[in-house]
Amino acid sequence: MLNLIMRRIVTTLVTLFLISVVAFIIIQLPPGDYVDAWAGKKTQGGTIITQAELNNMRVRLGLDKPLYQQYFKWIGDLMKGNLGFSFEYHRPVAEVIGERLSMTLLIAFSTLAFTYILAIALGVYSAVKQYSIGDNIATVLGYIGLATPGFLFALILMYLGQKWFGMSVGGLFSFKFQGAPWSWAKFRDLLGHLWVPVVVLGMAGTAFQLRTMRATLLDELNKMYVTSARSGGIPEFNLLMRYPVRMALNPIVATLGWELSKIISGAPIIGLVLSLPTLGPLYITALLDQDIYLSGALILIYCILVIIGTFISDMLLMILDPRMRMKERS
Amino acid sequence: MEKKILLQVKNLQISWLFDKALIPIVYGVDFNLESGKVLGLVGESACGKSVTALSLLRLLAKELKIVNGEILFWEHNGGETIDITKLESRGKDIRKIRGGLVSMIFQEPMSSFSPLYTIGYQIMEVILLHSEISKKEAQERTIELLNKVGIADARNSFKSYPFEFSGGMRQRAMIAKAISCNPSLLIADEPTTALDVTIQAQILNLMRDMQHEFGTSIIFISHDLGVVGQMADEIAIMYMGKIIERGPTKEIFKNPNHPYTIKLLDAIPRLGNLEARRRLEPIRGSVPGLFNRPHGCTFNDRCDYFMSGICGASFPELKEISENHFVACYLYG
Repeated sequence: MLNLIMRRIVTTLVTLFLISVVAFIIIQLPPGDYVDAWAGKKTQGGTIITQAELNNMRVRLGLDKPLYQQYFKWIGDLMKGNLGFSFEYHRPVAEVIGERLSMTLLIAFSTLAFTYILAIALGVYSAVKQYSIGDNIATVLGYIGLATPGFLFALILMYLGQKWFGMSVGGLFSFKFQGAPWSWAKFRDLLGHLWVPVVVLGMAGTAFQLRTMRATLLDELNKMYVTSARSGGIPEFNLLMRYPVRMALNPIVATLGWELSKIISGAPIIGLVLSLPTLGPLYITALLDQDIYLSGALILIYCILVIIGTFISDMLLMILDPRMRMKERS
Repeated sequence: MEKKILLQVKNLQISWLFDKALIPIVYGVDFNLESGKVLGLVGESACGKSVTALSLLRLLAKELKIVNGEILFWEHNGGETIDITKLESRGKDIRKIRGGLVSMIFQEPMSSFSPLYTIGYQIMEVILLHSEISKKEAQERTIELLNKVGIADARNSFKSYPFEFSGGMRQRAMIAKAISCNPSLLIADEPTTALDVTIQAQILNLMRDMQHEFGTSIIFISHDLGVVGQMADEIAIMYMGKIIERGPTKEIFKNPNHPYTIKLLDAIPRLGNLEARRRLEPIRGSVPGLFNRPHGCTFNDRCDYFMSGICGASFPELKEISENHFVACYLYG
C-alpha cells in the first residue's frame, strides 16, 4: 500500500509537470498578451496609450522575454511555493485564489457526495423493485437529468426560486452574511444556498450513476453466488448489501475520478450563471484577460483535483475488491 | 433402524410466469425421502430437476411460482412438520431452514462464492447465523471443516479468496459450507458437472464420506446416470417436469421399465461387457420445447412403443410394479 502511494506521488508529479507545460502553451495561444487585452479595454474607455507605455509595461511584467524564459520563471517560482502575481488584481495569485478555493472544494466535494449517495440509494431501489412505480419515476427523472444542460437547469431554478419563494438562489450567502465572520447563522445560511449549485452540478452525474448502478445490480442479483449465499439463510437486507450491492459498486467507484473532473469542468459556467464565489468565474475572466499566472495556477489546481479524485477512486476500489489488491501486489 | 420420513413432496407443480401466462415447468412431482438416504434425481437439461431442487428451499427466481402441491419437511428431535410451500420465500422461517436444516451445493463452484470475501468468512457467516457461538469458535469450527473436506493448510486457506482456489477446492469449500450446521438434508445440484473426471471422483468420495459420518440425507441431482448410480439408494427419472420412473438404484439399473429409462441406460457406454458390444443408441428426436408439450404422455413423440389412442390421451399415473418401484407408462397396467 505504501509502495503504491509512493509510486502514485511520483507519477502525479510527472503528470503535473507535463500539464504545466501544456497549460502554459495553451494560455499563450490566443493572439496578443495581457498588455494587449489591457490596452484594448482602456482605449475603449477613451484613454490614449502610447506604444512606449505598452513596451514599458511588458518589460515590467516580464512579458518581453521569450516564452521558455517566462515558463521557467513561473515554474521556478512554483517550486518555491510562489504562484506568481495576478496582473488584473494587482495581488499575489495565492491571495486571489485562497478566498475562493475553500468554497470551490466545498461545492465540488458536496456535489460528489450528493451524487453518490443519491445514485447508489436510488439505483439499489430501482434494481430491487424493477418496473415498480418508484423505479419508473426514477428512470424518467434520470433521463431528464441526463438530457438537461446544467446552465439551463440553473437558470430555471433561479427563475422559479425568485418567482415562487421570492428568494435569490444565486451566490452562496445572503447579502447580510457576505463578508461577515463565521457563525452558526452564517453556516445555516450557507447550507440554504449550497443545495442549488450542488443539485445543478450533480444532476447529470447522479442520473448517469443511477443508471449504471441499476443495470449492474440487476445483473448481479441473478448471479449464482447470490442464490448460494441466500441458501445459507442470510437475512435479505444483509444479503443484498454484502453480496450483489458491494459487487455492483465497482463500476461506480471506478468512475469517481472521472465524475469529479466532470463536476469541476462544469463548475465555471454554472458558477458564472449562479454568481458563486468560486474559482470557476475567476478562471473564465482570467483566461479572457490573458492573466497568465492566475489562469495557469487555476489549471494546475483543477488538474490536481482530478488527480486526487482518481487516486481516491483507485484506493476505494482496492478496499472494495480483493482482486485489485492482489493485482497490485504482484 | 426404523424408517423415518424426512421429506415428502406431493404433486409439486411449478410454473413460469411468462407474459402473464403460466407455463408449466414442473408438472406434478411426487417423492419421499427417508432419513439418511440418498435420492438421485436424473434427467436431461431443462427437465425441471434444478427448479425442483431450488423450490425445496424456496430459492426460485421471481418468475417461477409454485402453483400447487406440498413440500413436507419433518424436523426430527422434537420438531414439527413444516410445509415449505406455505412459508414466506423471503421470511424468517425459511431462513432458519436454509443452511441450518437443509443446505445446498451448486453446479458452478466457480461462481457460487462471492469473490469479494474470503472463503473462511463465507463459511463462518452461515455458522454464526445458525448457532450461538462466538466468532472465535466459529472460526475454529470453519478451519476444522476445511480440514475435514480435504483442503490443505486449512488455517491459511481460511483467509484465501475464492479466486485463489481451483474448481475442485472451491467445491470442497462449498461442501464444508453446506455441512457446517449439520443439516438433515443436503441438496446437491449437479455438484460435479463442472469438474474434470478425476476431481469428480474425489468430490463424490468426499460426499459419500460426509454422508456416512453425519448421516445426512442427500438429494443428488445430475444428468449423469453413471454418477448418480454410484451415490444414490434410490433413483427418480424426470422427463419434462414429471417423474416417470422411480425405484431402488439396483432395480432401476437391472430392470428399467419406462421406455425412456431403457433408452437412457442404453446411451451410457459400459466397459467390460464384451458380449453385449454394441453401438451406443441415441434417443430418437429431442426434448420438445416448453410451448409444445405433447398431449398425454410427454414422451409419446419419441417412444418406440407408442400406442395410438392411449398414449396421446392423458398422462399415465405412477404405478407400483414391484416393491418401491414406480413407473408411469401404459405398457405396465
